[in-house]
Amino acid sequence: MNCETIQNRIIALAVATEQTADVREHVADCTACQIMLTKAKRLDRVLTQLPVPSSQLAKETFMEQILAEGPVIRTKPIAPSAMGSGTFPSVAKMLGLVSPKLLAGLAAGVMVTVGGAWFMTRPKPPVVEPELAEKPKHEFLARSVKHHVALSQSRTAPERLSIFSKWSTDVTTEAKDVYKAASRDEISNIAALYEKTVAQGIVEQAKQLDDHTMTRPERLNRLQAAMTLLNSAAAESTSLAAEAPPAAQAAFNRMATAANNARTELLTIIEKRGA
Amino acid sequence: MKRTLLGLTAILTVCLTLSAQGSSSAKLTAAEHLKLLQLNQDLIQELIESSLKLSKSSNPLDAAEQHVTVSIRLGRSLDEAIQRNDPDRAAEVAALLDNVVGEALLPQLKAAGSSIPTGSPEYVRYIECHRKAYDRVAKLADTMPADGTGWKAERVTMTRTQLTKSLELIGPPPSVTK
Repeated sequence: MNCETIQNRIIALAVATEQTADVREHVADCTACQIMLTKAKRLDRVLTQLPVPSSQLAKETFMEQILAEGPVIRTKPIAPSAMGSGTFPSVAKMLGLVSPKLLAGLAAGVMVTVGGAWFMTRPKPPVVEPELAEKPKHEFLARSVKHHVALSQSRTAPERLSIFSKWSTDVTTEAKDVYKAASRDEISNIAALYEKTVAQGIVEQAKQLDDHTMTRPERLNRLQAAMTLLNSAAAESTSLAAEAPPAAQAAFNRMATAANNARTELLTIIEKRGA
Repeated sequence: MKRTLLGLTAILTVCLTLSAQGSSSAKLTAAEHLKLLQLNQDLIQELIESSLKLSKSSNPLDAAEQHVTVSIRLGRSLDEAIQRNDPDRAAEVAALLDNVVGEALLPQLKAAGSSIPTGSPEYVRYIECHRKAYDRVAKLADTMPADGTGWKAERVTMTRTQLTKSLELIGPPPSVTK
């Protein structure tokens, strides 16, 4: 038996003074093991002086805990592999087999589902009492007043041309907003407003663009901008006429005609003046 | 399988986004839009006709007269709102009236007053235009309920403030002889 084995046995002794025969025989001839035995005996003495129960069972339990990893540690412990056995490695192995795109899709799906559940069950904003709720304002009316004020402040034909162009666009927007619910007369009245805005507003102001207040390229730019607007209004009105209820079809056709006529007049102005 | 999952995820996302947008948007239906148009159609028509005349006007008095016409028309809508006990509508129209008076009528009236010679026929026209505007707004201010009974107090205050401001901006008309 070598010293290592003997010293392990000394450590394992419940009481250092009660060695077995083979240990006693080896220790008698071995200085190193004698030192180890002396230390073990001293440990026994120190342990008995600790303020803990000095029962033999407690000591044995304590020693078992100390020696649980083995009698003598000879090699460095190796950390278990991430892909080794156990719950986490098993999951990791499984995920490793799945496409990252699928994982991202699943994650997004979970997020969307949770978000959707939150959206459906989120606390609703407090309901405003009808008495205190503000009624919707008429955007078209507000914009019409704004255009009226802008016309008052305008000084030149190009400014007025721009204002009437915007106003005509607002009229077509209003027509689009109401045509599904409007009667024939109501949508027809809007068409009449569009005709007036275009013929007496856009065309008249276009006629007043002159060489004294602006250069020829500037005038051409203004006229082309108005023509582009009229083109798109004509196309949109024609398209709406095709899909609108019968009551609104004639009104959209009138608007398309008004836009086309105005465009022709602007073209004539350009040709006449060589803009 | 993967494609199916990804496709479903995308569809779900789009549906939820559209649903959220629909719920947060304050867009009116065609019927609601039409209701507003029915309420304002005559007013808008007069606004457009007056604006077409305004665009052809060559002097401040002509322009001021168009603004008086529009102000009187807005005043009528405001009066109707007061009679209907509709404070939201009254506040909306009062704000528009204040805008026309402050930004359009007043500058044109001032320009007309400073450019027209006293005693001229044009000056009498100018005084008449000024008086019409002032009387109309003063009458509206008188029509306003004295307190918030039956009205939302905030709207009452807002409307009265707008009218008082408009009246102060116009000011009493000068005498014919100046």
